Amino acid sequence: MNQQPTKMSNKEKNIFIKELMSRNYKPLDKVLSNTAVGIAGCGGLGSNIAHMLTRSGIGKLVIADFDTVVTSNLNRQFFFVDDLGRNKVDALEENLKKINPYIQVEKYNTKITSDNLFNIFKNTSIIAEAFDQVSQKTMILNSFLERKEKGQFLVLASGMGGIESSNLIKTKKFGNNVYLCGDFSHDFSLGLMAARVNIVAAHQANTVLRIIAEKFEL
Amino acid sequence: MKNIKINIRLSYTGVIDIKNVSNSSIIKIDTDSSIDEVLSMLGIRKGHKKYIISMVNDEKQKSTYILQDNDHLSLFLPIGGG
Repeated sequence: MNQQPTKMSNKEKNIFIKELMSRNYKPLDKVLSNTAVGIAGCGGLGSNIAHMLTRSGIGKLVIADFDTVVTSNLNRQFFFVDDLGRNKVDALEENLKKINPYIQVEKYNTKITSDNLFNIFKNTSIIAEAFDQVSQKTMILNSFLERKEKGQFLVLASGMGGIESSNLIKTKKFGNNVYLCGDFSHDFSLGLMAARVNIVAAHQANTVLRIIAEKFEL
Repeated sequence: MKNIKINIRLSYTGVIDIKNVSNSSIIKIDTDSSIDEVLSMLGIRKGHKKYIISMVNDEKQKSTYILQDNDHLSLFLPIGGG
């Protein structure tokens, strides 16, 4: 399929989007294409959240990461051998557009800090936290909770290491507009495997979809 | 005011080592206790305290916040990996 949406007519676009979403949960059809979601980090969590939301028909993703793709990423991240050495945001945008050429991707090849966080994600209603380092997780959560504006939601991951039981992985609420996904106890020191990282990413992606559907309770 | 106790509800998520207190239970603390003092009372080590994010009644609070009767203290300790 041609990845250049400009070469397709609006009619072709509408047919494609309709077909893409034809097996979806119907009440989301109209809102998904008008929603922008932020993804803070494009590694094991972020790249997988991004492809799940893209397959769902999300209209726009704002993605940010400073890193490049290396071989050790391929055990769990949504990248391929021909992405090696590329900036993650560039490779991810290209891979997402292989699923839906019409998705809008706003990308930032930069490290997210408390100073640029809310500027990067200013036009999103939900931010999915997808960092690897605990210091970055703490930074985004503290920044979010200390912020006076309360309109955005944060979906954060914590605990996905090793090959512990999948059934330990939960989604919890922390306050009114923060959701926590993970087993909350097994960290990266146990190794990071595709299965558990993807389960947590799927919890995050589903939580994002539920927030979009205004289903705020667990 | 010493020896007067108040009740708070304690919830925690993550590998926070709290012995003999079940999650979401009501605990008695001394009046005028700060979050930091309650964390010490619960046996949380100083080195762990700085990583714990504390919310009281769904609002983030500093460790110096003085807890009130019937407050809900929620603790979260993020861990790495992604």
